[in-house]
Amino acid sequence: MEHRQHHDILEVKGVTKEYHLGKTVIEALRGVDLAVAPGDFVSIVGPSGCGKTTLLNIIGCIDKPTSGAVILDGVDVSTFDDNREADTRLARIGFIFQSFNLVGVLDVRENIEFPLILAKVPKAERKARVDYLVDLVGLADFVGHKPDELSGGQRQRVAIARALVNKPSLVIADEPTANLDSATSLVIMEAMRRLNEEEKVTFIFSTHNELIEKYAKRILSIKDGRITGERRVAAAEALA
Amino acid sequence: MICSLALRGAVKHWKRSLVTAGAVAVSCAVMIAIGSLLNGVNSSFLESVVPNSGHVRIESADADKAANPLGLSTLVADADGAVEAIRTQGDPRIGAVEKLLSFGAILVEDTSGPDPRNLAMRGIGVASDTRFADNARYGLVEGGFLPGGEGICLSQAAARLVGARLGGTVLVLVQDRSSQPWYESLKVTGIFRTESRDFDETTFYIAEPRAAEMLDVPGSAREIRLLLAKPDAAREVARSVAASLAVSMAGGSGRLLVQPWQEINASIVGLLVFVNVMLGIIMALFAVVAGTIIANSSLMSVMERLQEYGTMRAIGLRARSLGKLILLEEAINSLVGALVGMALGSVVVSLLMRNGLDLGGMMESLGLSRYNRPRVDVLWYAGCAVASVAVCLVATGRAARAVGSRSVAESLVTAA
Repeated sequence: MEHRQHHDILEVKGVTKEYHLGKTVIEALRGVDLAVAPGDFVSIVGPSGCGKTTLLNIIGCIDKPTSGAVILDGVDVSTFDDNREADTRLARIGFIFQSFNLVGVLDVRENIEFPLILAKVPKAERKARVDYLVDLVGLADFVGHKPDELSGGQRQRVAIARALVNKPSLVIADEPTANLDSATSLVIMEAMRRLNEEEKVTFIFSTHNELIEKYAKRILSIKDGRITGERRVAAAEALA
Repeated sequence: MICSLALRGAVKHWKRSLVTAGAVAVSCAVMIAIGSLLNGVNSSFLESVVPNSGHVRIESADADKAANPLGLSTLVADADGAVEAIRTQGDPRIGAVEKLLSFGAILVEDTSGPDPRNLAMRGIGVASDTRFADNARYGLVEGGFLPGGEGICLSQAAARLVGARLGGTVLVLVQDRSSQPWYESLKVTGIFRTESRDFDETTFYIAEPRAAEMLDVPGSAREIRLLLAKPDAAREVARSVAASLAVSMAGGSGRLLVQPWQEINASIVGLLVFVNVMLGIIMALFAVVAGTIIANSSLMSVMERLQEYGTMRAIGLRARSLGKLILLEEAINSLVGALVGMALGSVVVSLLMRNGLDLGGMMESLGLSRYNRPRVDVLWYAGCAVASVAVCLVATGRAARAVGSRSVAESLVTAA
């Protein structure tokens, strides 16, 4: 494990990932280097199968790289065992999934509260934090609803609140608008951008939607497991 | 939270829960029913057959070899002496010592008519306050059991066959020690009925002194039976009595065979061991089948919910905690199943207790009741419930391991 003074919240160094399908080796990532600063809003774009999800999974400690290092808050998390990975995900990373992935038996409040319970946060603090977040994502009137009683956009807003509830260093969103219609997608992206600007939450999200990618401050292009380009998005372009 | 999640998961996925609870309930009920039946057979044997045959029996060593088991040549000649010797021994483990004299007889209708009805039977001479002959003493339907040592106690079936009734008389025809025929007219003082038709049609009781007098074998007996305070001590007591009699009866008339109940009823003990093993195997098979059903159901359930579990782990739930959640959910299902199984088992057991289970004539030939009634044992109920839950948890462990061994990414990808 490596502890360093560092400005970047995330550093990805020479990360490769190989999958073995019988005798066939599939190289999903071929030496990815990446640095993300606090408060960044990064979009990873590219065609299907280019390695976006694999990269996000490795950054999010839900998959291990074949080689290379992932340094989160100055600590190399790629060498962690299962339990430390779980603890890291709980404390430092928030996830937003394409298909929302809410726990069906829990209502909105409980879904958002779930990570706080895992982190053994006291009840009063949990209540305050959840109340704040349901207001922030505009779901105060739906706290008692189960996921299957909500629209797609509402579900994704619950997922955003859940991702933010433990005040993570980084929020990872894998195609967060892929299952939403255009209008709802824009609402979700607006919400994420507002959180980035007002709450200084660091986001990394993947998409192959050109309209969505422009919400980011930085766009990283990925192709065949390699980052092939990076550009910064002007505020005017994003709002256009 | 984990408990709440498990409970809600069990309710939401109620069809799967029903499969698990159903499998647990059936296996629990079957184990309770079979176990209670076994308990009934074993108890019937230990509490009825064993004491009724005596915990220790003394008979002539030649009794087994005799062509006629009711012949008078294989009696214990000096039974009174043997009884006295045992009593003198003063062994506190021995509760009662009693002589019995069984013999062959013909029961003849006491009528002046030309063609009296008759029945070849086995008479048993016992003390009027005997500690044996439970089936007749407790099966009395009219009169008493040899009150004051008088008369004859026969079954309803025998009474019907020879046209006898309570208070009436019946002729008992025997062949005495010198092969001379002898008969006596005896008053019917008691009528009994047991569950065994064979027994009822072949056995009657008279007082032992009267039997000895009719047969002209004073002081003799077919056998001497001992009842012990603790039946488990039978082997030791038999050895001690045998040693004592070998000394006191040395030079007496004939060798004696002293046997504990385990040897007297060796064939029944063997059969019961066999029945216990067979039913144990059946119970184990039910447990295996239930376990397989639960294991497959659990595996299918967790595979269907892989995304949910993958999400929980992505959020920060440890694999071990997830395993606990899965086990807890199935524990809830299995507890419900065990409770239902106990209720179901109780219903089956109470039905069997009311009607008895006909195990056929073979049981009768062994001295057991044809109609077996289960015996309820609360500990056994609890044991069956615990075993059913344990089988369920062991079976679910496979599913929990299957989920825990997958990476989070795998779980999410598989679900997608």
